[in-house]
Amino acid sequence: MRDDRLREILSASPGAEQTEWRSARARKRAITEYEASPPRTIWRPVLAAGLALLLGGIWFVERPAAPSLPASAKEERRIEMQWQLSDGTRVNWVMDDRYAL
Amino acid sequence: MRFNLPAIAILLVLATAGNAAAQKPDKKGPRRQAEVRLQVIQASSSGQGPNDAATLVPAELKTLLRFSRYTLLDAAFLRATERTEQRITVAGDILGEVEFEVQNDGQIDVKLELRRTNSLLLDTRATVKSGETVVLGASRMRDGSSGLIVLLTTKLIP
Repeated sequence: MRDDRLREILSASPGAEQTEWRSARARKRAITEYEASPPRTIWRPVLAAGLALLLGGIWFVERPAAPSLPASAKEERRIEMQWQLSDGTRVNWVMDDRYAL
Repeated sequence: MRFNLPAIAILLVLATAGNAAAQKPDKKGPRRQAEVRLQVIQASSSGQGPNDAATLVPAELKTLLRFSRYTLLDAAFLRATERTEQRITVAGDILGEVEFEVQNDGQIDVKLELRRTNSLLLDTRATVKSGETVVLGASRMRDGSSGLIVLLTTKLIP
């Protein structure tokens, strides 16, 4: 009875030939899927370029505008401007043609 | 001889009022003292020379200006008395005049004037807190190739 049970168990496991055949089939399937799929690393440069483009766009939109004289002030002799930088530093800038800089 | 009595009375009243105003005690109390620090920087968009003051000028301000070179001309430190004009010579031939007055709210009204051989370089004023550094700048409207930047720090002495 015990011998019969042992034979039954041994007959349930695949033989050496069947194991080799299954592994070869799995290897062939994996190689086929790998060659058919596109390279997976392509998303990295695409994502980096997109991120750089996004940051550049934000910088271009949000950058501070350079101070320029309004058209009505072109004839003035002296102009005083006061700015406050983002860190709280205050700037008093005087434009005066009398200055001998 | 006739006297114009109303006119004489008015003159007497005006003279008395003027004398009383002249003898009126100063309500502002004792004059405060402060330490004033000046850093005089020449900014230019071309030319050669050291760029040793680039780190002193706030980076955000440099993005607003068109200058590419910042040269430290001089740094001065003086102890001044309130409502008294202080004179100082910086960078060899630049004569500076500094005067400050403490406001009721504790802020300091500072007046600064810089001249070089009778030519005006900068005259401006600013209201600052004690210990605050304010950037004072000067340039010409029609020639923006050079400018003068003064970092002014005024600190009251307790």
